[in-house]
Amino acid sequence: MSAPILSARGLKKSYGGVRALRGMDIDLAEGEIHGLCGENGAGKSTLVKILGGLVEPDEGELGIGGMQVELGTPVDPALLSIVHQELSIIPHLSVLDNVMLGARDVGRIYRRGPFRAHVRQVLDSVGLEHVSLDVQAETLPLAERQLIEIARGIARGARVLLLDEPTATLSDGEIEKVFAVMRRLKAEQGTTIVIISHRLNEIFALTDRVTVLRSGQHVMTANTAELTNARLVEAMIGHELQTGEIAPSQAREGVAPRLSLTGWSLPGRFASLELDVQPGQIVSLVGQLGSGADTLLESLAGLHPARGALSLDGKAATPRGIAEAYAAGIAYVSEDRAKRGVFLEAAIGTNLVSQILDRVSRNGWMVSSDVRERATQLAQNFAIDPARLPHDVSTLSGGNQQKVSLGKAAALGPRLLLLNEPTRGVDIGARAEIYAQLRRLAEADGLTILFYSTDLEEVLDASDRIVTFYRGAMVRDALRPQMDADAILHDILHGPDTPNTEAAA
Amino acid sequence: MSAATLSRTSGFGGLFAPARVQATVIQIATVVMFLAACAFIENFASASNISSILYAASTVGIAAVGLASVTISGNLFALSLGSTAAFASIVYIAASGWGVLPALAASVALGLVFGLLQGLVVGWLRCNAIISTIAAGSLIAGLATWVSDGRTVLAEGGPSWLGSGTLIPGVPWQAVLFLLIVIVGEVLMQRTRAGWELRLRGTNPDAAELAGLRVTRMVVLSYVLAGAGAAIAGALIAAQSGTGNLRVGADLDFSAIAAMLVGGVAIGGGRGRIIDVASGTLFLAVLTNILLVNNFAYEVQLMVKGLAVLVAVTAGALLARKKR
Repeated sequence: MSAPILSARGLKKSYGGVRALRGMDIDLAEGEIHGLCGENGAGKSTLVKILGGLVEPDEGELGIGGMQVELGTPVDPALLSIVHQELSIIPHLSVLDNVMLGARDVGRIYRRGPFRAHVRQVLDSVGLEHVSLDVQAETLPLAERQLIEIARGIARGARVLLLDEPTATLSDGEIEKVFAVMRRLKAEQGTTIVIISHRLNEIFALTDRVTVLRSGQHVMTANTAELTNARLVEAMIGHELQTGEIAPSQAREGVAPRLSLTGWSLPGRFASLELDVQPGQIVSLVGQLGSGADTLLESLAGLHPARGALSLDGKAATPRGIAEAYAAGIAYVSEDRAKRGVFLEAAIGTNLVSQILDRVSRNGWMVSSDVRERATQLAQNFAIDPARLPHDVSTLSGGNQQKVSLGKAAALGPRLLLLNEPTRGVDIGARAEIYAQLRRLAEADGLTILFYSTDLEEVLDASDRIVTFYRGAMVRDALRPQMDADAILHDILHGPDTPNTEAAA
Repeated sequence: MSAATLSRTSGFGGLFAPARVQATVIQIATVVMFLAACAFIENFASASNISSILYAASTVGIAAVGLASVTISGNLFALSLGSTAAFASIVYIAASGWGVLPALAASVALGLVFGLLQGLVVGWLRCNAIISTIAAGSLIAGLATWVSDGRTVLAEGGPSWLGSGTLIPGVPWQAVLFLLIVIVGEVLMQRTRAGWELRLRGTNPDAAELAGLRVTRMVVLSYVLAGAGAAIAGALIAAQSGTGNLRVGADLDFSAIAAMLVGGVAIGGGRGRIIDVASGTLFLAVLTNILLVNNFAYEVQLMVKGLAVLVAVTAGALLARKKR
């Protein structure tokens, strides 16, 4: 390997008593795509922030392009640029202004003229030839906004691009676009790209080398081609994954459906459809953004005023609001964990019982023994340490927060559980625990679970049955063994083959 | 182990957990300041001075407890407390012929109605909490002026037990009422389902809504409590002075906000307890009294109060940042 473009030695950082990084070394070769893997809390984001100069480490040194960098001060964007996990696009500004945001060579007065040609060229290079410079960013789909964010890094001529989960909010079709851009950048401009992702298939599809972090320490760096999925997972979690792929149960013949939809539609979002789901079945609704699959899931929880009839165990139960859904035995878990899923600033125990307050109180008074008992039981079911019940949810990692979010919905003892992106941003260990608990609920309690996911791996691992959507219409409804990744991608990217397939009009 | 155990870390460490630091510091500071003043300031510990501290604390404190339910439920402040108190003082005096308790009940009923109306506007119609309560304040002040013709109403007969009576020398009945309200408020907030829902709504309104909590009812309830608190404060001031007019409660809004924030209730909602409101109230009352006894002018007292709130808000912001 020639001299590395970026070289960090002995980076250490503690937040309060928590040691986020305990002596991290990393070298990046010029023109490579380098994956950073690790469970939540492994220190990936801290590392990225230190490399970008957003966080000052307690110890360590960093060299970029052969120069020693002053730590804790923002790095020259011409050397290194970060594309953040949360989109930092300003919706009301034009595409041009968004790309120029934070550029250093603008001068005291911002005149757009001199930069137009350059920005145009950069946008073309990331596949945004069709996007005008002057259109407002909010009018663009999520994937194109993410590309604009990457364009910002390129426009500054960054030799190193750090991407912190650039695909977490994108659907598979859009992810392919982003990947194509990254491969071209590497090939044509020799840009070094670091990517953090929880989706291991992305790591294998895209990267040249992988560095694994665990508990703030460097575990290994290896050529991706020499790695297997199992070996990577083992390095990330420190032991072999216990559960592996969960064997999907088969649909049973002659069982009355738990959920039955007839003529269920939401004009403009999804066309009228029929669906029967048996007790104990886990069904994934798959589709890109705008396919209507996510809206369908939300409408079952009464979050959209859909037309048609919904019945549970043969009884009409169309919910006209979330409260009615809960009362009917339908529980819903939001995809937006921090904003709508959990109470971050409340105790874990409080969160777990927050949806069953009526059952742990008597005549309006909380019964502390019931609260403790229920919270402890739920914590155990979802592999949350009961000793942490009095602590705020915000002290947990993303994966454990998601377990709380699921636990508080499962507490209701629903007959139908609706999950929107059940494991977004959740590391692989916690994912397996969540799938195992969902499977237990389905098998032991006969709970019917419907989930929407943009993560193909998850769809294939966790469902008994897969229903695909394309532009507001159902494309295919098939049992898991009859589906594979290619079939799903085909359905959600291209829709039905001929007008005569089973797609509902 | 109590129901509150799940919402805070218990034991000594819990007192200094990031969420509780400010409240604990203020509690300790209040006690230290009080003991130091007793030791070093002549006549500070006299029954008459203690009683004047408690009079000031009781009215502001009761209004602040009511206000805290609005803040903790996540709706920042109600800015109609002063005019509600003023109207309530007029009603109290006008009804004082019926006796102390009926007059107090009439004032409280007025506060409940005004609180309910504001609660419906904010909770049900989902109007902006600050603007709605400022508008309501103006409306209530206008109504009070219209009803009283802008004049001061005078009570008939001598001072009542509520106005100047004491349980023991130095401890007026008003302070006993304040203590009762704090205890009841604290217990309701920590131990009832409604209290939990109200606090959860404050930490995250969207999540509370999606979790199916009774958010609209809780928001309405919080304004009802705030209205009642302000009305009781107005009635107590009227009982002390034997007069009811529009100037009663002139600085009640800010005093109540100050007491609550200094005590450690978070502006953003969800964090803070009713006992924190009490300690914040007492802290400011003792501090103001020390300045008063040392002959500092009113403007100095105002500046000190303003400074105390700024320090409290800054400390809250810094603690919040440290947690991130």
